[in-house]
This record gives sequence, structure tokens and C-alpha cells, in this order.
Amino acid sequence: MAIITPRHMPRRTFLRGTLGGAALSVGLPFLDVFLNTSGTALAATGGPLPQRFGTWFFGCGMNPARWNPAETGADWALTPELQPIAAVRSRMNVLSGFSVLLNGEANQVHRTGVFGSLCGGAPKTADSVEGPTLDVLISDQIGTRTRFRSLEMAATGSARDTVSLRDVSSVNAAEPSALALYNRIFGAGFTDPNAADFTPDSGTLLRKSVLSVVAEDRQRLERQLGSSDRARLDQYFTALRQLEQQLALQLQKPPPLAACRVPESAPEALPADTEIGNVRRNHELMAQTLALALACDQTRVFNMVFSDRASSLRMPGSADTHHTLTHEEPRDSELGYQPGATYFVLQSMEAWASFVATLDAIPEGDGTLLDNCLVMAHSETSEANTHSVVGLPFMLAGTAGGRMKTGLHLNGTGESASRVGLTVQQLMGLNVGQWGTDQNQTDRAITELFS
Amino acid sequence: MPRKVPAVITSALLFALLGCGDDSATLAPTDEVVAAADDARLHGFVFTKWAHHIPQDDPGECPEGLNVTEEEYLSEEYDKVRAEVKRRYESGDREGALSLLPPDACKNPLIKPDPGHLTLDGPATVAGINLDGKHSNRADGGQCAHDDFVGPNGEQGIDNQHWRLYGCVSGYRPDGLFDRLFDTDNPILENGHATLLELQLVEGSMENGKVRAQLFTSAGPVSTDAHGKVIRNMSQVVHEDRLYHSAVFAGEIKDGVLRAGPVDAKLRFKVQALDNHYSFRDLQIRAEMREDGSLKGVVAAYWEAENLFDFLTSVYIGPVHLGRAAANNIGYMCAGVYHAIPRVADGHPDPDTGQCTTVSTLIDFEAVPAFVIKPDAVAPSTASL
Amino acid sequence: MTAIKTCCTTLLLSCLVALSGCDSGSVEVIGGPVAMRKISAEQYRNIIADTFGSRIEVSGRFEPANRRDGLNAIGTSHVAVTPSGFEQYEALARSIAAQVVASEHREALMPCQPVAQSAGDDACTGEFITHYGQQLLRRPLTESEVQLRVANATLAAADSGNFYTGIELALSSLLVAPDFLFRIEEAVPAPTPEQPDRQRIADYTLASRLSFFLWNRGPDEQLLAAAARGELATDEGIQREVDRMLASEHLAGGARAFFYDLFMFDQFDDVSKDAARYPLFTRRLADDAMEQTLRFVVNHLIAGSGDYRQLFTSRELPMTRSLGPLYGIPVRSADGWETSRFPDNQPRAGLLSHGSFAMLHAHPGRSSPTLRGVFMREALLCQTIPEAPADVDFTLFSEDGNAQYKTARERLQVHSNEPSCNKCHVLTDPIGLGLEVFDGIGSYRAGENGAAIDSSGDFDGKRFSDPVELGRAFAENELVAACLVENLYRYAVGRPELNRERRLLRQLEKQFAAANFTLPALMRDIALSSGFRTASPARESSQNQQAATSNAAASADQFAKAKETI
Repeated sequence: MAIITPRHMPRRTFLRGTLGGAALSVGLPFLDVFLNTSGTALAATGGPLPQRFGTWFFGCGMNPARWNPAETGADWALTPELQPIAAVRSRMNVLSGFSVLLNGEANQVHRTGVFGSLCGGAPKTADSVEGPTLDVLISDQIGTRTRFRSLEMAATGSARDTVSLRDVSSVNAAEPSALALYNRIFGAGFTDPNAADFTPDSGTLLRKSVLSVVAEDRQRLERQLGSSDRARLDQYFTALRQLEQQLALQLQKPPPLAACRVPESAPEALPADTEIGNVRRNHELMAQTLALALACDQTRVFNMVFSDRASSLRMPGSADTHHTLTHEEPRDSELGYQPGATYFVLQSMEAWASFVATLDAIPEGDGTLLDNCLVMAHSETSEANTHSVVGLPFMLAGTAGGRMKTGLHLNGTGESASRVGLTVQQLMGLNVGQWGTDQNQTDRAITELFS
Repeated sequence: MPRKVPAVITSALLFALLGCGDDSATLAPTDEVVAAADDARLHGFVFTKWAHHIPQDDPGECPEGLNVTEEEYLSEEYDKVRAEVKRRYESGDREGALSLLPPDACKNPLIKPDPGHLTLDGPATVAGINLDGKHSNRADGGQCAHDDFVGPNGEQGIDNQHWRLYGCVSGYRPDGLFDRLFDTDNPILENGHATLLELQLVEGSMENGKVRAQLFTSAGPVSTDAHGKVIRNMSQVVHEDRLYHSAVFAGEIKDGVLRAGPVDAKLRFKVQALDNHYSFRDLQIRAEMREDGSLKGVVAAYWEAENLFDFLTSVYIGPVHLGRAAANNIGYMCAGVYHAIPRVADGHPDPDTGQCTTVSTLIDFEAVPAFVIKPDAVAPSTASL
Repeated sequence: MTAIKTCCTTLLLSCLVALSGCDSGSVEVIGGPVAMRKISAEQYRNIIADTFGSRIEVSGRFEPANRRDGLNAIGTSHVAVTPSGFEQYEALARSIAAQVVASEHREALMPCQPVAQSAGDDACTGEFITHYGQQLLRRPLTESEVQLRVANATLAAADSGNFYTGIELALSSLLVAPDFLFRIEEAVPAPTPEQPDRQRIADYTLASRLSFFLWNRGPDEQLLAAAARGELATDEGIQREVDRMLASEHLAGGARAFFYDLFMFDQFDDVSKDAARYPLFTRRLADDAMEQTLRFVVNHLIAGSGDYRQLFTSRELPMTRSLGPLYGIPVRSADGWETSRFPDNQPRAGLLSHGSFAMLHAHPGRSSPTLRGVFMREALLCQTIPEAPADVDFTLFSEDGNAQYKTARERLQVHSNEPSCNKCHVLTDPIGLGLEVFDGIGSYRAGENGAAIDSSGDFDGKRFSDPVELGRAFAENELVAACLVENLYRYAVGRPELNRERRLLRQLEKQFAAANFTLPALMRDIALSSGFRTASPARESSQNQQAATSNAAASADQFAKAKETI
């Protein structure tokens, strides 16, 4: 695998080589800086299809008794709260019974479940997270070759609702609207991979030279800093390097992508709030825009937040949010569950099913875009009423390029959710054999899922 | 018990049924703005509904049918030019389109002979006020003779000649164009100005007491909330032109029902193509003061005949006069209405000719608390919370 | 009071000389390690406006701030730049650079004219970079920093045939530089026999500390010149500059930025209310409510040199037409602000009665005594409220399912009956319930679900019957002023105080009281304090070992946590 980096060339040489003389006018003589170490050019011509990873988060979990299937394996019956996924069940796996093990730490409500799952260990205090989250680990591996390392989205309209972070000081803010997402992807800087001609933009080259100038100063600054600040400066330069690499990519003709269709118009601007109708609509438009971005290989990693941790979803006119309902609504004695809160569980499952269907609707290669994705749906609790992190709901959709079987229900019987995270990493081709911390450390991927 | 209205008012025949036996409560209309010395006694309101009253349950019979429009009346002439008018109108040439039509009586009603206008002459159940304090009957003859209506609760002597004028116009019948329009908030929300009422308590309480009242047109439109409803307790500045400030008039609240007036008032009205004002004489208000601080009731008044005709016919989009288009939509002919107005007029007879010059009318209204801001007064009123 | 202040500053001088046995007058401590602090969105805008004028637009998205120990200002010492955040900074830099060299601005902004527009000009480019580099990076550029940029600009100018392309690139490279986006603080050794580790904050770092603290913007030319001359290292020099800065119109902006941070007003962006329950709530109302509180605080404390404690009792407040209905107040001006008073028929007084607090510390569909109590305890009293236990059954608090409980007080009664709840809620609920007459957006209401609201309670031993008395109890509580001192100090230095700095805080509290609790005096005392001007070298271990236990709520995640409590 080639990673584009001009590291083997002295920066100053690079600058002069690219900016000096007639380089720009005669075309692309500076392409040599984009050769990989073995000297083969990167400009791909019909190589393997890109593989993508994404997370899909929904807040406040489900009712275990109504969500968890009774049977395991391929032959399981849909439960009341999984009814909404009926049409796409064959395209995913349902995982029940995987838990974040508290390891003697307090359950940091609405945090432990999600960051425990995504980071392989329970957060120790209210303001700590042992990052990075799974998506960042995976994007470090597969996200460096696209324009965007990853795309974060929150259908709730709040950039803060993201669940993606490298560490507590480096939280990836979410795009709050479909329109903002569209503009970021298909606005300035977008190159249609299927366009007939390609002219590298001299402005891109100039932008890249600016970053090189800044990078020159790194050593002076590092000498000045202590270790914790140096780590933050490293993150700054990592970010800078990633932009450099994105720019380098834009100087190349992108490989044609048959599945890529550039949207004809921007999605409509919607009210950004947590009313369920608005969130559903925002989510739908975001999913459509994201699917096109994936098909056009603008990013290979994404994080969709359908509802936030401690879900703020609400019905118009109600004093309660999904979250407050999970705590305050009485359990209906005949039904045996909280009908108001459960409404939002069903809404979440419907939205998830529509998300999967959206990816599945785009033909790619011999199958669909979904075949070349792995999307992990997850939540921060199982039973939200008690903030339980035992038996969290997970669903894995797509086949990761044929690497994963689908249609199964597996029960983790209380084992660490790190097994799910490790499995996902291995399915995405990461060379990792063991993952997680303390009790949540595991070397046992869920091999039943591997095809 | 009838009482004499102040001499300022033209007609000595008019009586108000305000039951104000005490003369001290009756103030002569003055130009004075209510002094705002004691805030707590001032209660402002902004109108949230303004609907020309259309009796729903028993609007009265039109035995000869409804009025026809000019388009129907002169259908042969219209047919000849219809296609071209439509073409020109749709291409944006409004002026050119209208020039093809017969001479426009809505611009000048005297250019045509009276084509006739059907008025509603029989009985109907119309809510409202006995403005003249009499039980009138055309059979009795005399100046400006007219038949009163009976109210929904059997009240006698209801004056609403406006309904006689428009009762047989399709656009005014229940569920007609106007009825549907008044059923919406549009007359309030689209109006470039709000109508304001300020009450100053001079005696007793807002349940039972005496007030001094004043009507204003506001400088700007109403303010609306996230649902598009008028915001309560919003500050509204009165119109800079004092023409649109009524004089101060007396009122009384008994068991939560406000009765105030009479007073002359001009109220600005600017909705879409309609840019005019109402010119009312001897306006009276009767309204229930509801528990949430809002008002619901009626405004009854004598509408000056000229202004009444002008009000609906002077519709413009840019320079183009669309009075006839409005008449064709609503269901009457301008020339007919013009000649019908004197026949229904029931107030303010001309001292020389004896011809009545105003038409009694009724408007349903609702209002919510607001602060009435008078730029030159010391302090504004306090809305009730 | 003036006498005491003069006395203190005189003593400070002698303390610095003697560095021992300093008693009542001033407290000598060594401040914590220097930090690397990311500039905030507003600071970024201020620097651009100060450098290039307000016609240069800064339009772009900034990453959300990161709250720590109750303050975003402390978060700035921990937060890094993410790839998507860097993408935004780079786009902003290009947009600003393009505007600066655009033909309509270039003439006013270029410090020199190139020999030819079609080619590079090293001298003029160098002058441009030196001139603006110093303003943007808040220190003179090194020779190599200038040369690197000149070289790149020359190449770009030659390649594009346009001098200004080179200038544009040079400016972009300054605007994405880590030393622009971060305040990378420096300290230099200043040992004493007793304290061999002692450092003093380096001159340019100190200039930035002063200007970002007092003005929320970069140092002006005069301050940089004072730093260049080494004057900030002397007591006279720094006093002169601080006094000049306190007299500046920018002081109001500095105070405003602090309270914006302390009051968590960055979270206003995310406030939404149920339109059916609160139809009055609009974006405009929320914006005005936030602005109202900031104006009130800054007017009172800066323009009026008022007593901080009076913020909790004042019946005056700035008002707009759109806020009038929220308070039931008539407003004369059609647009713009006017000074108003709370209506006599409502029990309102001071900050706690402001709509901004009611809106921010509530749910979308209802008020929240607990959230309000948490805010008062944590932000205003510097107390810590632990997180709710994970396995609580909240069923009894529901509004919809418990019709027999009409008011929040009745529903929350459960907290006090349940020992696991009570230990925290006994702190939050009684004072939060004192504000229950203000609904989820701050409108006054006398009752809830047909039952009268009881606003009475007990605040740390003091009875109150309504929000007015609660405000008075706040004003009279010693913790309130002490907490402000603590927060302002933390804000100034970008970290929680160290244990050894607590002595200094006690001293600052006394001085604050002696100065009639006026904010400019407190800002002055902090800016001149030893903790602000010195540092210890232990940068490596700073965050983990030496930080005192933080009293205020500590979390990047505070918002999510806040949602958890009722």
C-alpha cells in the first residue's frame, strides 16, 4: 500500500522543485514527489474498490427484553424493537450481550457505555477519555488517502454531539446540517473523479507550499515545550500533515469511480433542533449526501450521530426528551415498558434501517456501496432507565468488501464490548491482535463473523 | 337608559346604550393623550383578530339570488376580449389588459347608470349593538329609515346596515371569500399596522370599574412568536400621525364586560394591495375581559359612506387600479354598490339634505395585553400579566 | 481603600527586592508552569480586526470550545487542533490573506510598495512579514521565520507573475502558524536563593497574558514596545501598562469575555426550546437574553465601577423590544437597548432573575431547579456537585406520569427522601427551587399545573422567600466574591490554582473586599500578582500532579452531564 508522503525529499528541495521555473506550465513534472517508496505511481487505474468504515450512534439504548433476539445464528426471529430493520436484516448482524466492563470504576453515565465501546475501556473520571475512538484508529490506517480523513455528522444539529475523538483535547466536531456537509464535500475543492480532463490547480500547489513553510519551524517550537504541550503540538502537525496529503491528492488525477454520481443540487436547509421530525429529515439528507461522498471516495471513514448521548430527541409540544422519559415515565403496567421512551427506540431503529438502505441503494462494482462498507451502530446504554452498560446493542452492517458474513444474531453473554471493536478493526484490515485496557482487554475477535 | 352624547357629535339623534347614568364618566372627546402617571392603572391591548361580522347561523335570505359581477352582467363584452385580456395580464401587461375591458365604474362610479344592487332586506340574526338606541323600522318611515336586526340572544334593535349592503354578495356569505379570509390571522399579520386599545382605570377594578379608553393605530406591524401568533406584552408604538389616535372616550366594566364609546376613529389598514384607513363615527366597543387578560368582543360603528366605497375599491398593485378585479372576485358591481350605499345609510344625516352619510357596521375582534408606547408621554402603560 | 491598595503595591516592590518575610501587604508565590493556550474564536477575530481593520471579514466555523474546571479559558490550555479544525483554519487564513491583498484593501494595508507588481520584491515582502508578523504572533519574528516566508513568496511571485500572490502566501503562512493559533508561553529562569526554580514570565509572553486577560485581544504596539524595552519585568513598568490598559475602552471587552466564559454562554448556540410550550422563544430572544446579561454585568462592573455583589440584587437591566414580553416590561426603543427595571409586580432581582440563566439551565420543555442549582453551586460558589449515580430510578419525577404532584418542588421531594440523591440534591434543589417562578425560558409564573409555586427555602443557613431574597442572600454570602476571585485568577493564568497559590487567592480576596468588590481593581491585583508574573519549570508534570483539586465542575463533558441531572 502506498502512502503519499514527500518525506523522503528535503522540504526546501520540494518547494523549489514545485514552485520554481516552468514546472506548472508544462504539466506535472513534479509528480515524482508523489511516488511511493517503491517507485510506482499512485494514479490508480481500476484498482480494488475503496473500503469504508463508519459508526452510527443512537442515544439511550433500547429495552433489552424487547430488543434482544432469543435465538442466535442465522435463524432468529425479529423482536418488537427490531421490527423496523426487517427489510435490511440480511445486510447486517445483530450483536447482543456485549458489555463495557466497569473494572471497578464508576459508571460515568451516558459516557462509559459509548467511550468504553469505542476506546476499549471504561473512562476513569468524568472528564477523561482514553482515546482514540475506533474510527480514529481506523482512519489513521485507511483515511489518509482521501480528501477527508473522516466526516463527522450530527443529525441533532449540534457540533458537540460528536462521539469521535483522538483524545479529550482533540474532539472531532460534527457537521450539524446536511447543507454544511454538502458544501464541505461538494463545494470548493471537489474534483469529479469521472471528469474527462484533469488540470491540477496551481492554487493547490501554492497552498501546499504554505504548509511546508510552517512545518519548517517545528523543531524550534518543540524545544520550547514540555511533554504534554509537545503532544498537542504533534497533533497540530499531524493535522497539518494530513492537509498536506489531501492537497497532494488533489494534484493528481483521481482514479475514475463508476459509482460516483455528483449530486445535482444542495440539500435544503432544515431547522437544526432535536424535534424528532427534524432530526429524521436532517439524518435522511445527511445519509444521502454521505453516501455520495463515499461513492466518490471523498472519505472512507464517517461517524453519524443520529441522537446524542442522553438523547435529546423530543416530540413537539412535550416537556420531556427521550432521555428524561427513560427516567421519569412510569412503566406501563400492562405493556411492561415505557411507551413514550420506547417510541424513540423505534424511531432510532427506523432511522438506522433507512441509513443502511441508503448505502445499499448505490450500485458499486458487482454489488452495492454497502458491500464495501462496515458500519457499526451502537448506543451508550442498553436499558437507559438504569444507565445499564450491560448487554449494549450493536449492529454491524455491510460486508467490509466481503470479509464479513451477515444475517446473524450473536450473543456476547456479558463479555467485553472490546471484542466488537477488535473484530471491526480486523475486518477493516488493521494489523491488530489485541485491544482494550484492563478487564476490557481482549485478543478474541468474534470469528463467527468472518467469512 | 338613553343618555345624550356630547355635542361634538353631529347627530343629536344618536344614543349609546352604555348605561352610564353618571355624567362624570362621560368625557368630552379631547385630543389629550392619556397621561400615564400611574402605570398600574393603564392596560394596553393589541388587536389579534379583526373580522367584519358575518352572521353564520342565520345570515338572512336573498330571495332574488346573489348579486352578479360585472363579468357576468356584461358577459358578451367580456367574452370578446377575454382571451386577449388573459394573455396580456399573464404577460405582465396589467394596464394593457385592463384597457380592453369596459369603462371602469370602480374608478368612477358615475360613468355608468346604476345596474342595481340586491340588498338583504329580510330578517337575519346578527350579533351586535343597538347603535342608535332605537328599535327602527322602515315601515315607520322618517329620516334614514331602516330595519334593525335581532341578535342571537333575542336582542332587539341591532344596527348593521353594512350587512344589508353586502348580505347578498357571494364573497360575504358564510364560507365565502371574506368569511374564509377573516377566519385566518392574515388581516392582522399582513397588516402593516396594528390596532391598539388603551384603558385607564379611573375607578374600581378591571372586573367592575370605570375606564378612560383610547384607540390607536400603531406605527408598525404586530410582533409574532415561533408559532406566528401575536406576542403578548409586546411594546407597540402608536402611529406618528395623530389622525390615527382617537380621542379619549369613556368606558365601564361590569362583571367583566367592557362597554366603551362612542368615539370617532380613523384606523390605518394596509394589507397587500389594500392601503387605506377606516373612517368610523361613533364607534363603540363591547368586549368580554377574559381570565387570561385578553379581550373578545365587537367594535360597532358608523362607517362613513364615502370611505366605505373607497375602502374596497381603491385596491392598487403599483399604479394599477384593481378595484374592479376585487369586485369581480367578491361578487358585486361598483356602480351598483355606489348607488346602494345611500339607500342603506342609517347614520349622521346631512343637515341640509337629510340624507344619511354613514352606514352602521360590526367587526368581531380579539385583543391581547400589550404596552402602548406613546413617544411623547412620560411612561407607557402596563400590560396585565 | 485606595490607601490600602497603594500600600500593597508599594510593599510588593519591597517584597520583590527582599523576597522574604513579606507579611500582610502582598503574598509572594511562584505561579504554575507556563502553558500553550489555543486562542479562542473571539480572540482570533479581535486580532484580525486590530491588525487589518474591521473591513476584513472573518467568516468561518471554529471548533467548539473545550470547558475544563468550569472555564473554556482552562480548556484552551488542553485543547489541540484536529484535522478538520486545521482545515477550517487554513481556509480562514486563505480568505483573510486574499482580502488583505485584494485591490480595494491593498493600498491601505501594504506598508510598502513593490518595485514591480509582476515580480517578487524581497525588501517589501520582508517589511510586510516583519510588520504584520509581530502583530499576529505577538512577538518579533526571528530572522529565519522571515526569510523562509520571503523565499517562498519570491518563488510564488515569480511563478505567478504577481507580487501579491507571494504576499498572500506569506500572510497565509502566518495565519496557520502554531504560534498564531496558540499562545505558546515562555518563562525565563529568575532564581532566588530560597527558590532556585523560580522563573519569571518572559516579556512578550507577559504582554500577551496581560492583553488577553484584560482585553481579550492581542497586545497593542505600545504594550509590545514596553515588552521590547524590558519594562514589563519591572514593577513600575508593568503597573504603568496595566493602568493604561484598565483605562482603555477594551477593558469592557475583556470583562465581557470572562463572564461569557464563566456563565457558559457558548452553550447558548445549542439551546432550543419546545415551540409549543414556549412560543415566545426564538433565536432572537435567546441572543438578546444573552446579550442582556453581558451588558448588565459589564455596564455595572466596568462602566459603573459597581460592587460585584450588587449583580445579585440590582433591579436594573438593559432591555430590547423583543425581551419586553419575557419580563412583561414596556420598551420604548424600536431597536437597540435601553435601561429598564424589573416590573414591580414580579419577584425579580439581579442576575439570577435574568432570562439567560433560566433558558440555559433548563430543559427544552420545562424548567430545572436542579440544573439551576448546579450552576449556582459550581460557577458562582465554586463548589463541586458530584455526578448522579448511574442506577437511579427517576420515575417519580416525571411531570406527565405523576399528576398528583403539581409542582417541581413536590416531584423533587423524592430527592430528599432518598439518601443517595439527597447528599447532592440538598445542595442544588433548595436554591434552584427558589427560581421556579421563572419557567423554562424565564417568564414569570405564579403557579404550575394549577398549584401555587413556593419559592421559599434555605441557602446555607439563610432563609429566603422568593428570588429577590435569594439574590440578597447570594450578595451577602462570602463564597460568592471568593469564587469570583478564584475563577478570574484561573481565567487569567489558564489553569486551576496550585495549592501554593491558595495563599495568594486569600490575599486577593481581601484586596477585592478592600476595593469595594470592584472588578477593575481585582483585575489589576491579579495582573500585578506574583502568581501571574512568575512560573515554575515543572511543565512536564504540570497537569497531573500539581494542580489543586478543582472545585468547579470539571469536564469537557459538562453539558452531557448537566443534561443528566433533573
